[in-house]
Amino acid sequence: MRLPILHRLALPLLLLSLQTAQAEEWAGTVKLASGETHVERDGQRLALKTGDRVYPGDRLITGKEGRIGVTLRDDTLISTSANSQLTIREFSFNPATHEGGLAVSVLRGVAAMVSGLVAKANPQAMRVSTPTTTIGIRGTEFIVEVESDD
Amino acid sequence: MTEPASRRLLRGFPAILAILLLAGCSAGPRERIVLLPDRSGQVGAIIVEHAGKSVEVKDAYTGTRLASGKLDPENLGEEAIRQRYQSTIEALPASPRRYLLHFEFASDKLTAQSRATLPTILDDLKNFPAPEVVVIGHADAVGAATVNDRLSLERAQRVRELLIGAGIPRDAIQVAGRGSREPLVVTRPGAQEARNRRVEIKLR
Repeated sequence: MRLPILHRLALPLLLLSLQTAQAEEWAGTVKLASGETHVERDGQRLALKTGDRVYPGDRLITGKEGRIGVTLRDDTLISTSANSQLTIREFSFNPATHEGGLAVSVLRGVAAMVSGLVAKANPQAMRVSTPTTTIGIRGTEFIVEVESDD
Repeated sequence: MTEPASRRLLRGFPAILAILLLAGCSAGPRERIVLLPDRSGQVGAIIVEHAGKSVEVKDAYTGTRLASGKLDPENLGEEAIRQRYQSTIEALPASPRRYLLHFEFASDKLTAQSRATLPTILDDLKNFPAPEVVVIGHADAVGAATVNDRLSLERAQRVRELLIGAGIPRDAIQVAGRGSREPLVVTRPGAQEARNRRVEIKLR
């Protein structure tokens, strides 16, 4: 069966635009994933390994003895140790102007962070929160621990 | 004069609500936030906010502790912090590494010195897991901002081709142009400055 020419063009174009959108939206790259490491994305739980990209909305999860290290596109560094959960709620970055926004929530466990170019250009543009506190960043390296009873 | 019972109950309501809220807070998680010195040894600052109260942390290895709904400053000391959080700190990725390439005047040819750094960059790349290379072009203050944005991007794209030629996979390289926003040497507007016509390579 011959597809009309427009249809034959439309599908590849649609796929291309979807790929581009996704490629531009990625927040960072996993530089370390050891032990039990997962990502929760769009309601699905996937294994997370070194070299994987992370996206806004991702929840990074470590189990017993799990560790994750991520470098975001604006050079923000984030790590978590065992039994931790952290969500990259928001990430945008313009590499030409350094404008953007970054919101991270530490839900449980321990996370370390080194703020990057987004916070350097505008400290208000980086927001870190826990279940009950918010943290304003004026530079640059810090630890967040959230103990929970369960 | 006596109030109706229902009215008294209503007056007491805010107090009851406050008690309930406090009880709710104390059941929340315990949290700790600690400021570390950055990798160059400098100490920044963080501001921790909880329920309308905020604590500014300015000294390395000090922080705040939230327990029973109350936010308090805390100073555990460097050794205790290092010990408790060692595995998390060690999991932080390496800081990005930067190199500068310069071009011969009015040319897209690298200077001999800059050409000589290419093998070093390839070598250093091996120290980065899942390596990424970011190539950032810059322009001097001559010309309009839009022109410099384009020119700086073209310089970066030129260097990307050199890196691909040297064996770095294309999909590991991103390019960006910063125009004349980030001069290495500050000049008056519109001035020529060879040191600002450059490309920065970042490994991470």
